[in-house]
Amino acid sequence: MTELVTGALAPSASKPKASARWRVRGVSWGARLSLVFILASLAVMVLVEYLPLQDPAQQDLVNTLAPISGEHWIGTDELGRDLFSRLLWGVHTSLLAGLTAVAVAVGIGLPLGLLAGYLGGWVDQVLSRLADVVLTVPALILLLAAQTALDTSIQGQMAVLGCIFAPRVLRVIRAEALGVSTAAFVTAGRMSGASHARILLRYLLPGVRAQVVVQISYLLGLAMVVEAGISFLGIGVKPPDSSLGTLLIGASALLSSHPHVVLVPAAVLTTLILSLNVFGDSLTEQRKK
Amino acid sequence: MATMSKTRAADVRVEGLSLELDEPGVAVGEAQRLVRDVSFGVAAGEMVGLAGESGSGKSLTASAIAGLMPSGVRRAGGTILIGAEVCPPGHRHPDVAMIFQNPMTSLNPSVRIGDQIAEAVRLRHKGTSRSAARKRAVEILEQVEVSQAASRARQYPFEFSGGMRQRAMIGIAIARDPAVLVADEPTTALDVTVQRGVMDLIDRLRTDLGLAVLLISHDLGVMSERCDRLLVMYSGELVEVGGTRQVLDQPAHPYVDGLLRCIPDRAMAAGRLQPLLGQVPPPNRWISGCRFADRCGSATPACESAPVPLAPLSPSAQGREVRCIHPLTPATAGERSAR
Repeated sequence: MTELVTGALAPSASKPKASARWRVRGVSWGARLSLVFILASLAVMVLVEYLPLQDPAQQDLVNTLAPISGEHWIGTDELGRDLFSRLLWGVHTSLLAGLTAVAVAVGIGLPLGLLAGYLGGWVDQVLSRLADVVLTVPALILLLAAQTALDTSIQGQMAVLGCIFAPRVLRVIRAEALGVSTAAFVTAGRMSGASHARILLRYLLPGVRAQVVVQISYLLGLAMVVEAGISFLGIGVKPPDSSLGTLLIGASALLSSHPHVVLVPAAVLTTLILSLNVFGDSLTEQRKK
Repeated sequence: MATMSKTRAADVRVEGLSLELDEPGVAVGEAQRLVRDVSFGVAAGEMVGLAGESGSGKSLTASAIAGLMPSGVRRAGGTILIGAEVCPPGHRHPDVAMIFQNPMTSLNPSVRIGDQIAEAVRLRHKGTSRSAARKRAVEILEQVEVSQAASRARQYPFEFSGGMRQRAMIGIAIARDPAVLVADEPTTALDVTVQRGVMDLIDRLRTDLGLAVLLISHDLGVMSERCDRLLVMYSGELVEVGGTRQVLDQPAHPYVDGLLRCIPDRAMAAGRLQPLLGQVPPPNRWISGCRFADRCGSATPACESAPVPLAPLSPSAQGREVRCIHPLTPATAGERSAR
């Protein structure tokens, strides 16, 4: 009898298909395009130093606001600097800033969220109430207050932003961990003699992994909006460095006369943020299936 | 057949186990204990069935033995002995392994099957190298009759069918080299054909490894085939204990009798199906006397007034115990029935 059962199941098991795990079904073209755009932006972020670009800070006052040409692919700005080069460097700065914020947010929110969800009780109460307190204050105001007190660079500001985002991560991960920690396999793990640390790392962490990726994609978009916002306000990234935010301030007065100077960085920023959101949404959808 | 692991034979003894709710603001009296005065033993190499309907406290008893009491429940009294060792509440004795009802959720979905078994091996035998544990995991998979164990070990739970997962689960359990196996409804979630295979496996491991197996189930059919002895619980109490055949052939407690009259095959022989009227009372309506009294055809005022002890049925009946002042005897069983 037993042999029969195992035998009947064997054929499907005979070929372990590693590729099956990577085959993605039902993912929209929007999500695929988004992923391509995100990966391309990340590539730009990493490789921009090695690309044969013009110096983004090199002024050419004779050629200000030059139109699109073979030499300046998307023209030059009001100081004659090559816009294409400034745009790529802007992507570099903005993404790096966003990643800093997200790394800090996940670095704080993920372990604390796991602990809160797994241990429950007073640990959960204390952490969740602290998160509530931070969440009641609007992020931008908190960030401006911190900047007034600390007066740090853009990376410092993004680290502060990460601390402001951490409670969001904590909340999401806590809820997820709460669900996973009541699953039977966690009880089974305790039965095998696994310690709390092992359960957190081997059982809960993989269980919340997908949610972490979703959070990263959302928060990265949000962090870049905040970076553009504070750079536009004059704190954040300072000239002559370019970020997607500073490109917008520099060009905002030129919207009616030379729209491409504004529209290109704005379009890149919008597309990147949209891509991050679409990608995050499609991950959430995948998880529901 | 793979190499057989050495196991220290040991038996389980549960003496006077009582469990109660441990929630602030919930008044609990002696009468409201979720599990009251449960005593039984399982010898090495023996399979004992613990039967009862949902809420009868059978799973809670099993969890207490495994040291996995849910939060909000606390041991109010009694001792649990594994071999000669007394287990304090919440202690997970290394010689006790447990398998769970739903194999779909009791495996870690993000770790390969082989690694999960190897993890259990290394947690039990500290200092085992990774590669030795992996090798042992493949042996264990062979032992639980998973074909192509070596390649199966590299797969994830979602690549396993339900029956295979339950085998893997059993593999994780025996990776601890246990002496005692608590099987909490191991086949309830499985197809009938797969059920038989899994039960055959548990049965074989019991003989091969000399395990003391406590099988928790509400499937009297499975139990009648597999168990040496049967324990029947009702509302948190053991109501009848005895050899499987004796209990099923000549139930002494009216509840067990009523239960068996609901099985179509048996009942149709007697002419008609007799339902067991009423419902299991919720714990807050439990009384200190017989908890079955309000549904029982032979209840008298004496039944409800004082606790009824679990007493030997008769001096001659070895190991037969019943918690009833008016136990059914072969002579009376025919004419009596549940109200």
